[in-house]
Amino acid sequence: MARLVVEGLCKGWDFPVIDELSFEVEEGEFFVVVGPSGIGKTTLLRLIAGLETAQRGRILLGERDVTRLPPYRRRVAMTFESYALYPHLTVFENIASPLRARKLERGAIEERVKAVTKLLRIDHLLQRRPGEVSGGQKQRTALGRTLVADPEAFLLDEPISHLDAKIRHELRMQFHRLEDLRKVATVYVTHDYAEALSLGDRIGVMGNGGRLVQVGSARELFERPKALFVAEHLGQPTINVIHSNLVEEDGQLFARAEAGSFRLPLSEAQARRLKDARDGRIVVGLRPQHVRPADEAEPGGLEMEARIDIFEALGSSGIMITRAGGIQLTGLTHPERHFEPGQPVRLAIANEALHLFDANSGLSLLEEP
Amino acid sequence: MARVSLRKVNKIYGHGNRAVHAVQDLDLDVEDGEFVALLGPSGCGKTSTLRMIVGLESVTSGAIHFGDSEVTTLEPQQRNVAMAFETYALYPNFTIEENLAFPLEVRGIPPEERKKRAREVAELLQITSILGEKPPALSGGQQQRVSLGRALIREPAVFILDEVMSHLDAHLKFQMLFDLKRLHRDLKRTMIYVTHDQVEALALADRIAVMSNARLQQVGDRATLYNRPANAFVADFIGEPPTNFFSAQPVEREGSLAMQVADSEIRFRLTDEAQAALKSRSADRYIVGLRPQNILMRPAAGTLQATVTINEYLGERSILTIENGSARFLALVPPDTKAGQAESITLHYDPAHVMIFDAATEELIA
Repeated sequence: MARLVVEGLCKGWDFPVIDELSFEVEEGEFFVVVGPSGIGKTTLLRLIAGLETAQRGRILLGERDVTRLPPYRRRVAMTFESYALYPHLTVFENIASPLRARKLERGAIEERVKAVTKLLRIDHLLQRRPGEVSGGQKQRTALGRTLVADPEAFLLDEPISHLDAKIRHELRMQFHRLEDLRKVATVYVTHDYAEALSLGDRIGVMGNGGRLVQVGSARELFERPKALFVAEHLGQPTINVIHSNLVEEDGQLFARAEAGSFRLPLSEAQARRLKDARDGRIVVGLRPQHVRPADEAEPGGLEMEARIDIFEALGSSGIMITRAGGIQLTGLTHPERHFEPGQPVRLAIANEALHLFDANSGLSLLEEP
Repeated sequence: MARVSLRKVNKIYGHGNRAVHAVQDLDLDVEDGEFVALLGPSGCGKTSTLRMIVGLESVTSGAIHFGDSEVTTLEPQQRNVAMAFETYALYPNFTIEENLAFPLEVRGIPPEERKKRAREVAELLQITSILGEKPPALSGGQQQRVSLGRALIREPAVFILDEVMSHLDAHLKFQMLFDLKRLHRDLKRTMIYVTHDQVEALALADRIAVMSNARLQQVGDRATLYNRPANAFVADFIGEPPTNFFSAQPVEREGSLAMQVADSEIRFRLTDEAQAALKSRSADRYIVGLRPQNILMRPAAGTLQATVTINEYLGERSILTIENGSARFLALVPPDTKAGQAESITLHYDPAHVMIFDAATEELIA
């Protein structure tokens, strides 16, 4: 059992993919790396697994420096997004293969495989070959093979991203309960922010340039993003991004949209934080859930007139895209509502929930760096 | 412009005891200018249905009409229907403009007209800036738009979209949903959208046709499928997270019928209508359904106690996994809900949201 330390890791080909990347995962901690596709998440896992060689930096597992060790001596288990199953072996044999390699006796192997496949709901498929099961079942087979391996660290690469929404939720719940996973350090990579928020004890958001833009708990990242990139990557519909200028009228500071007449009054606490905003340009981030029809919101908030551009009722909420003060503003409604395009709507905006970012650096003006 | 109607359409693959009944007695009407989604899990028969509408698959029995004319046995090119596929199928050596115009070129339409129409379609899809590019230089989302554009440019009477978004990642998908919705609003063309993803279907379509096991289960708008699902399959398939189901038995208390959940302290209050519907029945077991979003933190007429096993924070919302006795279920709650593991909480529901299904047929009773 060990904690995983990644220290100043660098890897690049023509350009840096992973650049001076550092983080630590405690023994028993579930650490999620989330970021858009193609940002280098898989490369990071492959470096930890030993399938790529780091150009600089160190990887420690407990007391051991594994940076230069071959994959099989690192004692890590990794799932691949592409499954990498043996096509000629049954589901049972695929999952049992790491146990056979460790020379466990037959009874113990059977017991272990049964337990893990029951958990993953593929225990009825044990005698089939990978070619005879669905994509989702292949993915679960690959996951099962990783879970039985008894490593010092789990590395999971998008292990549930190809499954239906329903099974995804079920497996997320399984991850919450899986005690094996909660014993060692786990690094879980995904592009799906909901998966990240759900599963991560801590989450690192990976951005351009191969670094972690912010590391924190789900609530910290979603409610107190330190960079516009983090705010934009987490959340659906995407956060409203309003490029604004600071203007003062009668002693009240406003963020006024560069295009249009849309403006938001800023509180004294917010205003105090804005002293450093250069040339008065800032970016306002406003989550759709903080823009609601006024008749659904607590009274006393900031209200303004808008017009519905598009309305869609999705599962648990309605999404309205509105025009307000010359800008486009996305908000959420109760799912049973209905609006027609062009219909006027009075909006309530939870002003205290604004995020404010520096227009040049994209860094939060509200959070400490 | 055309209305599409399917009458008693069947599709059987193979013969004798190896025959597979892929589509069974399907009746479906898509009105002129309507946007209908054909939704179901893989293997439900939706793709066979689609291929019969397009003419890529023969109809075993039944009839398909476009407007007043029967098309059941017509070749695809005689039907005036266009289809956009999941895979992009663009010509890599042609520019986007050439790719768009290609279906017109095949039809012998003169170059100026082709150019004009390609520009129009590009404007509609907001891809004018990439008309000179070639497909490999484009992002997945852009390629998807070009593929749509190539189907649109023929100005078909019926426009069919087959799982066009399953390759796109979440943010792009979201953008495409709104684009498609806008497109339909502008074009007012008859559109049939085939997907296994209920979020796409519910977001886009005027009405959704839900298929399972070769049969049409229900056709309706979003509110109907949510609040009056024809059966437990539809209630389970539509909605995310899915509907909670409980095995329950009717009990009478102080003159009112309620539903007592098996091996649990939960007893659901019922509306007068639901009670009346149960009076004429004698079964002692029913399936009760209650959607996770209809289990509320704020007060309502019905109350239930439960213990939290998992509080899953998802940013805009949280999903609680909760239990009472052997009943384990989900509740969709505001993200500021702080209830932790093993905490006991009081939740609420409106009896009007309690759905009752026949335990044997799984059909909605009330």
